[in-house]
Amino acid sequence: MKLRDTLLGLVVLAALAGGVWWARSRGGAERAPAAGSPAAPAAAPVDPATLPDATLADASVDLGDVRLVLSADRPVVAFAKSRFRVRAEKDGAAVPIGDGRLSFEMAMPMGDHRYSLVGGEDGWHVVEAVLPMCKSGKRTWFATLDGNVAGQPRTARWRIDLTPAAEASAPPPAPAP
Amino acid sequence: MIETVSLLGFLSLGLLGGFGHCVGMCSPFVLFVSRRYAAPDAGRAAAFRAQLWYTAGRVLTYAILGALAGALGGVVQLAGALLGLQRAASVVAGAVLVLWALVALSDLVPGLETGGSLFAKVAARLKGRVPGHPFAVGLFLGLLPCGLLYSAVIAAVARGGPLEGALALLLFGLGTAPALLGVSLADELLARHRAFVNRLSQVFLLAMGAWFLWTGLRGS
Repeated sequence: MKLRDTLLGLVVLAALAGGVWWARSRGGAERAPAAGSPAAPAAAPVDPATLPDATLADASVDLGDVRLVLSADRPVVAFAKSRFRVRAEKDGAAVPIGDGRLSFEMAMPMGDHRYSLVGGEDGWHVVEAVLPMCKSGKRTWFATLDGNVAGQPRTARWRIDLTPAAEASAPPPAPAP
Repeated sequence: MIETVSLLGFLSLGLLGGFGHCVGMCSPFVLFVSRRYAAPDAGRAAAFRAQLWYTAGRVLTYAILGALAGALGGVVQLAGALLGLQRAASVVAGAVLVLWALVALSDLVPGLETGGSLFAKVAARLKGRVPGHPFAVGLFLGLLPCGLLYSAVIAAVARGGPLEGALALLLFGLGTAPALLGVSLADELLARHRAFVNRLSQVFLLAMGAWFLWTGLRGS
């Protein structure tokens, strides 16, 4: 009886481990395209550390003929409404992004948050999003832009690290004497 | 503007998140429910029933959150209101897990075993305070701070109404169930009836409880 339970338990445990592997392998980092690509082809694994980081400053992805820039109201605070702006440039001038969409994912399964871009000023396209933070403390999200720019479907990707709400509301450190 | 997620998308988010997320974060509560609401000699059916009640309570809380998100049409107001509540839930749940694990482990520490000590009085009082039914535990623990749940609530905003939001979160909650019921089954087969492994799971409960308590107090 005990041996049978043990074997059954190990089978259940193996099924759980398989489920965890399956779920995690479908996470954002593994299946997304590289930082920038003309279309969205079958993806190769991506090291998140190599993605342009829009956490502290605007970050751009150069696709050769066009450049895509992601900007955000900083810091990007967890659980708070954040405004993200995207701009496409060709030869230094803004060009429109057709059917633009900015989606947010984490490496772990946290859903795929998709927002349609809304046209703003000076060629900037805007979305307002609320990004949650996992209790485990993982705070890196991946923002993926999909849209038609200069007659071609384009995809670009950035990383953004969230600031926990508690840190955002903490007073800044006192200046050194 | 946030794009609408299909109902199937919510179910799949729950299913994926259940394995990729809840197995790690929520398994201490699954272990707790089995130990608290099903005596070791009551059989597997009793433990499974307790887990189903716990799941039903959790899913009902999710559905209420989904209805609120759908009704408000924006998650920011809900997020603001919930953050404080969720921190409190984290502290209470963490404290209960810690005390429960300490009571379970107390016979290992000389002087702490139940028998008139202050600790025994605390333990007896705790037993009186923990809800008497796993459904109530599920209702309460559905409020635990969880990024995955928030993701689903945010997506529910785009469903455009309280009923639609509730249905979306109901499916999300049901999607998380297979992974957690799997944890319960593995616990039943491998841990709960084996003294040494059961001790290990009590230590795990203690550690996770302390972590929930700490993160709740710290506000993260």
